[in-house]
This record gives sequence, structure tokens and C-alpha cells, in this order.
Amino acid sequence: MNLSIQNTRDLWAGLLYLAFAVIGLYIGSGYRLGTAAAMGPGYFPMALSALLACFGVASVVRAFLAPGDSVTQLAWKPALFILGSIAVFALTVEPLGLPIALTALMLIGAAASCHFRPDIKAALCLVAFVALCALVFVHWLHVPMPLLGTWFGG
Amino acid sequence: MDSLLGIILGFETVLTGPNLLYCFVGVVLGTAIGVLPGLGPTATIAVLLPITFGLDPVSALIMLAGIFYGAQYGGSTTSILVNLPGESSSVVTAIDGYQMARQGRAGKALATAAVGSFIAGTIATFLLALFAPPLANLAIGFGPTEYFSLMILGLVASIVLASGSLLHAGGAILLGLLLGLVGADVNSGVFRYTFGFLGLMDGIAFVVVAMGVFGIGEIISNLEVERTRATDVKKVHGLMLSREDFKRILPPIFRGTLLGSALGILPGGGAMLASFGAYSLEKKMSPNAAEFGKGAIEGVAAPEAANNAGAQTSFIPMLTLGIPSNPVMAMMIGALMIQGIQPGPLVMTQQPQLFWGIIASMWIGNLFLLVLNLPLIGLWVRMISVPYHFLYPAILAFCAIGVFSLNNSTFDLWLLIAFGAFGYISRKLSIEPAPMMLAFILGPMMEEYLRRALLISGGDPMTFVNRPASAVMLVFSISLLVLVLAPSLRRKRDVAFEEDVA
Amino acid sequence: MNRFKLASLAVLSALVAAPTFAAGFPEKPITIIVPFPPGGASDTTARSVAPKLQEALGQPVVVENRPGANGSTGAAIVKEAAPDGYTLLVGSIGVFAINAALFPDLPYSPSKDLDLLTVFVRTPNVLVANPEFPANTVQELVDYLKKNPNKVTFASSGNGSSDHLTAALFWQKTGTSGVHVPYKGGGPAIADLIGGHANVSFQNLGAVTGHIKAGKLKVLAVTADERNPVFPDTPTLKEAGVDGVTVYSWQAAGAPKGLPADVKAKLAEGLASGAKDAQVSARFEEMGFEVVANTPEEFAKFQAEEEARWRQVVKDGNITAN
Repeated sequence: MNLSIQNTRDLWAGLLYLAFAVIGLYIGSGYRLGTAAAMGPGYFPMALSALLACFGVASVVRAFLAPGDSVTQLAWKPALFILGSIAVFALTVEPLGLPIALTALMLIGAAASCHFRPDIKAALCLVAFVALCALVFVHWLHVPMPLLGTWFGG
Repeated sequence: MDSLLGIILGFETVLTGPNLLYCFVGVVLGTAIGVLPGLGPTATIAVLLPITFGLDPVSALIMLAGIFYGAQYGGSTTSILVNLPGESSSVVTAIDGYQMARQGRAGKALATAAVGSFIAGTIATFLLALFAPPLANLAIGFGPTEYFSLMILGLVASIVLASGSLLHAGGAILLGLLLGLVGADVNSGVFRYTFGFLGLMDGIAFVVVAMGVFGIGEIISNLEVERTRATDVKKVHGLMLSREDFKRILPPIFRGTLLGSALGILPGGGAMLASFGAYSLEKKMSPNAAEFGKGAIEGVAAPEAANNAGAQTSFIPMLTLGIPSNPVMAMMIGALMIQGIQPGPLVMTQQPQLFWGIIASMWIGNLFLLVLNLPLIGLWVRMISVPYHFLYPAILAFCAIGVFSLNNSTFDLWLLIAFGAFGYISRKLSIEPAPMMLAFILGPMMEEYLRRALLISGGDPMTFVNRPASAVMLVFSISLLVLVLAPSLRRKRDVAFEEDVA
Repeated sequence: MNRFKLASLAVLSALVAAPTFAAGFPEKPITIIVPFPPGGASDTTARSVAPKLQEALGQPVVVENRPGANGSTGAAIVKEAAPDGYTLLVGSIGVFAINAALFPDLPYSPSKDLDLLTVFVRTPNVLVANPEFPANTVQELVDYLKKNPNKVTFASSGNGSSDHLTAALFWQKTGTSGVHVPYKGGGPAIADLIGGHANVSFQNLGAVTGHIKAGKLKVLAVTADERNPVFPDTPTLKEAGVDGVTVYSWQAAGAPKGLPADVKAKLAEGLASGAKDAQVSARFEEMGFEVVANTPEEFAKFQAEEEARWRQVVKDGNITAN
């Protein structure tokens, strides 16, 4: 039998299940368990976590026994840019205000694409889009996001 | 014949000048909100509530109702176009609707949603008019025991939703159930899995998970293959439905309508199951089962019909008993109370204009939706034919603003990042998002009903078997599970699949 | 840390500026934070009074929902805000009294962190039962509970809600016991009562009036000092022989601790007269609310009594939510 694993998908998925199951069991053990007839807050999460752990083990075992797909390389660049752009938005929306935060979000987000390059027409579209969002969300729908953040005394 | 007189009264009420206008304003607003992901009808109605103080109660409720079902409808638009389900009911629509859009069939998917919703809305409205009171009494008979069994049935059906391996369908469902448990436990008040964060005490918002797993996860996945495969600029074929398409979508629409109408009546969470249930049913029944998950038009028709029918019939407990099925209905009851109308069974007899006016307005509202949205389809399709690298930053912006507006807090944005990463990774591992989302919605309810049923029965588990409706649903669940698990059947399914591909 | 710095900076600037702007208060829009989702009693109360406050002060008044953790999230946000009168809190008995009794590590203290402005409205709870339930009077219910200890189900709108604690208080005062069945809000609890899945409940008057009138629920008593004009034949719990279970749910307004005195007076006056406005109070009465509109001093005294009382109930009933 060949023990070098091609079926990395089952392996990683199984490890993901196990990770969640372990967290679930570890924290869940702090809650009162109760009995099947009178369940405490811990009963349901512990049962689910235990079941998930079984699925995790099964998936890992299957990775060694059965052929399957291998997982392709993670796309680090788009993942970091996209997730990072939301982080920047979260950090700036209150201190700097919506227009600046949204511009940053979309520019950093757009930079994740391999088609990203400076372009005057796209920049104009961006400005128009941001203005539209400010109008619709802040002005009409009263989402409490500042137009000028706290740094500008807004 | 009372119903006939009632309907006539209802149409008289709606067709008089201002009410027609309020109905129109309601559905237009609702559609707009539904299309903007993250912004829910609850927040919008709250903003509009003070305005309704000055209106006649009938006009106020007609407008609020329009916002509600308009938003349900609008939610499917973004599901189909950019894989962003803003409402729990449009999660399933995203499965096949978005695939259709990627194949250049967005127009057909949107048209199917519009037509399906209209037919379902029409049938459900007439069911509502004819049978509201007896149906409401049926709904009241559903206690925690029955709801728990219904949730079990829903969960088993969600295995059918998955198209990949059963092992990972089960894994996805368990992950969803576990994520749903975060927050305060209804029974004991204990905060579970909150890691000390105030923002997690009420649990993780549906929209955050949906935006993260579907929206952000999808964007990253698309960018990954950007270099190697042209994800964008697909040739758009026919916007309108052909005779052949109609033949394919009509039976699913009718089945979806029936299922959705039935589930919508149940105020304790039935409506949420409608679209999931209808999709699973079609996937089991359809001669084109193999296409499901790859852009089957039936996979859009059935859940959209079920969802809209459920949205209409969910008014039954509110109008006839004063019991809200969801936060929007609770707000409508609040609006009624502000107007000096006590919600409850007397509304129907003491305020016939209100009762029948709302029912009639629903049909007219559905007509408005159809007339309004069919011409818009062309516009939507043109919008997503923009190159993807210009489109996705806008999707990203809507996700961020929508998630922020849920609780007006940046905490949910950090959660969005976490679920975006989680969504991308689970996509890489082929853990399917749809069954996970269903489990995420059902999980907390299932536990709540299970524990409540046992509390009420004094800890006797036989309550689930002794109550007939509950027993029937459990038998159903077990048979369905056997059907799904039976290995021979699995093999047959795989064979059928291969044949179709070949 | 950053947020704390910002907040303390704001406090500092507010202190420096205090003497000048008090005269011209308000100079910019005022935000009312409602720590619950839109559509609930607190939200409706805030949105009903807001336009009147706006009229009285001549500046826009905006209502913002910051729901979460039984109202603690929003209350904690108000605690952190500058005490300049531009951030207000409108919340329920839970936010201003019960939470403090129930949660040991609450992120705010209603008496220490907030300036209490006014109680807008109050509404009594009513003791309702499914029509098929054998007991028809309070006495019959007490007898029944004594014969069937820990059998009768009491539905509530949530763990630690005012109706849950009213039930606990009722058991304590009558020496009985029952099964507490919590729901997510009043709506589903009422639905299960009507369906006969749960037996008895204490509910806010306005929420069940329609159902009682239609005969879907029967009312045994009101938890008020006096009989209610809507149900003149229904006794108060005291008349029915149960003393000490007078319970009202109420909605009130507060602000971060340390408002300049004149700003506090101006706001308290504006809010109270907003609730007393003919149009607003008529709307409140239709919802089953009774207008209170008391002064900050009266509210502070009332709050202290309520918090102490519920602390005792929570302790005696061994009720936990954490």
C-alpha cells in the first residue's frame, strides 16, 4: 500500500473537522452537561463536537485508504489582499469616515486582481461609486457611518 | 361566500388611490433593500415606522407588507447575479442561480425567479384568502415537539442538498450546527463559545456567515483562477424564457408553491425551511437531477416559488392570531399597536378592511414586482457583464457596508474576515456551503425546541413518538435517510450522473 | 486602548468646553442609543418621543439601534460616550435594573455609570393562562401548584426577562413551584400558550389584550397596584391574596454619568414633556402603556429600589444567567 498521500483533500478536511471538534469539546466541557432528559447548556455542543470528531477521524483515515483529490496551492495574494482590505475598512471607517475607508477598501481589494493597473477612467468610476454609496447608505438609509471620521472632528 | 365578499372588499380597499401608491412604494423599497446585500427589511421598517404613525393603519400595513415580500424577492437577485444571499431564503437560489449566471444564463434565472414568485404569490394569496382561519389553528397545534421533528426532517433533507461525498455533507452540517450554537443559550442564559466577546453574545449573524462563505470566499476563489481561466465576459444568451423552459419550470413552481405555502404557515421557523425543502424535493424528483448544482433551471424555480409562497402564508398567524412569524411581523404588530389596534383574532372581524386589504394588496404587490422586475433583467445582466475585476470591488464594498449596518459595529467586519477565510478554505476542501448554512440556521432552533419539548414533557423522550404529527415527520426523516444512505441507490445515482455527462 | 484614549480625550475636551456650550446646548444632533433591535418596546418608545425632543431642543434627534447581550452592548457604548448630552440611552427595566441584578460581570452599572433622566412609561404584567387550564382564579392556581409541584409550565419571553422574574417572585411569595420555560421573546411564548403547549405566563398587558378579548387566553390577575381599566373585572394580585408581586415593566432614558447640571435638566425636561405630549401619550395608552415621566431624582430612587428588589429575587430564586 502506498502511504504517501495523494488524497490531501480528505486529510485537510478531516483535520479541519478535528480542529473544530477539539475546540468544541474543550470549551464545551466547561458548561453544565445535564442529562438527556434535562439537558444543560453543554449537552448539545458536546454531542455535536464528539460526532464531528468522528467525522474528522473518518475523513483522515479515508485520506490514507482511498484515492481522492489533492488540494491545490492556496492563493495567498488574493486572499491576503481581499481579507486585508476589509480589515483596513474596519479600522478606518469610524476614525476616517466612509468615503476614505471605502476608497481604501476598494483599491486594496482591486489590487488583488492581476488585471489591476492605474487607470483614470476606473478612478473616476470609483469616486462616483463611493459618492453614491455615501448618498444611499448614510444619507437615505441612515446607516450610522460618519462621512468625516472622528479624526476630522466628525 | 364570506371570503368572496372579503376579497371584493380587499380589492376595493387597495384600489382606492393612496393605498395603491403605498403598496407600490412598499414593493419598490423592499426590492431595493433586498438587492442591497446585508440591509434587511427589519432595519428599514424601523426607520420608516415613525412615518407610518401619520398614515391610516391599512395603508401603513400595506406598505410594510410590501417591503417584507419585496425584500424576499429582491434578495434572490443578488444571489443569482453575484452569489450573495442577503436573506436566508435565498441561499439555495444561489446554488443553481449563480451557476446559471456564470454560464451566461443570468437573464433566464432572473426571469424564472420573477415568474415563479408571481405564480407562487398568486396561489398563496388565494389560499390565504380562502383558508386563513383553519390553517392558523393548524399552525397553533404545532408545539416544540413537532417543531423539533420538523427540524430533523429539514436536516436530513439538507444532506440531499449536497452534491459531493456524504462524509463531507455530514461534516459541513455538523460544522454549521456547531457554529449556530455560539451565543447565549436560550434555556440557561449561559454564553457559549463567545470567547469573551460582547459581539458574539447574540450569536453570529446569518448575514455575516453568508457574506463571508458565499461572497468573500467566492471572490478569492475566482481571483485564484483568474490567470488560468477567463471567469468573466461570458456570452449572454436569451434573456427570456422559451416554451421549453416553461415546460421545465412549471411543475417545480407548483410543487414549490405547495410546500412553501404549507411550511410558511408555521410561525416557529417553517418559512426558513421552505426554499431548502423545495430544492431538495426537486433534486430527488427531477428528471434532470444530475444538472442540480451546475445550473439547473428547476433549482431556481422551486425554491423561489416556495420562498415567495411561504412569505405570503407566513402572514396567516399574524393576521388571524396576532402571532408574529419573524422580526418583520413583530414590527408590523408593533405598528398596529401604535395605531390602537390590538393584534389578535379579533382583527379579522373587527377590522375586515385591514385584513382583506392586506391580502388583496399582496396579490397586487406581486403583480407590481413582476412588472417592475422583468424590464430590469436586461439592466442587471448588463451590469454583471462588466469585467470581473471591476465588478468584485463593488461586491466587496456592499458586503462590508451591509455587514457593518447589521449592528452598526465594526466587530462584525472582523467576523466577516474570519468567515471569508473559512469560506475560501472550505471551498478548497470541497466542503459545501449550502448544507452548512442550513444547519447553521437550524442548529439553534433545533436545540431550543428539543430542550423545550423535554422541559414541557417532564423529560420524557416518548413525547416525540406519542404526538402523531411529530411521529409522522420522524418516520419520514428515517425513510429519507435510508434512501440517501442506501449504497445501491448511491451507485445508481452516480451512474446516472456519469451518463448525463457523457 | 485606542478607543479608551479617544474617549478620555473626548471627556477632557468636554470638560474644558463645558461652561461655554451648556448655554447653547444643543448645538449639534443628539443620538439616542436603543440597545435592542428595531420594533421592540424600547425602540418604539424612543422613536415616539424623539420627534418631540427634536421640536423642543431645535436640533435633530437620531435613534440608533445597538442591540446585543440583553441590552448590555448598547448600554456599554453609552457609558463610554462623552457626558455632553449628545448621546442618550433609552432602554427597559432590563437595561436599567434587572441586568445589574442578574449578570455578575455586566460591563456597566446603571446607577454608577449612567445619569438617570426619566422613566417614560410603565405597563403592568398580567397573569394569563390557556383557557383549558384547570385553574380560573389566582387561589385555584396556587392550590393547583401546591398539589402539583414542579409540573405547571410558566412560559417567559427569556431567561432573566421581567416576566421570568415575576414568575420567580410569584413562586417565592406563594411558596409554590413551577417549570420555567424560556422563549426567544414574547411572541413565541404567547403562541405556545394559545396552543396549549405551555400553561401559564406573566406577560406585558399590551401584548395579550387582543388574545384575552378574543377568548384565546384567560386572565387571572394584573400585577398592578390598581385594577386596569381595560379589564375592570380582573383583580390585582394583592386583591387575590398574593402580596408583594406588584410588577411593572418600564422604559426609561439615561445618559453617560457626569452631565453638566443644566444640560441634564434640559434633557430630562425635554424627554419627560415629550412623553406627556398629548399625541404621544395617546399613542402610549393605546399600546397599554401608562405615562410616568418622572424627574431624575424620582428615577434615581426608583432605580435603586428596583435593582435591590430584583437582586433579592435573583438570590432567593437561585437564578443564574452566567
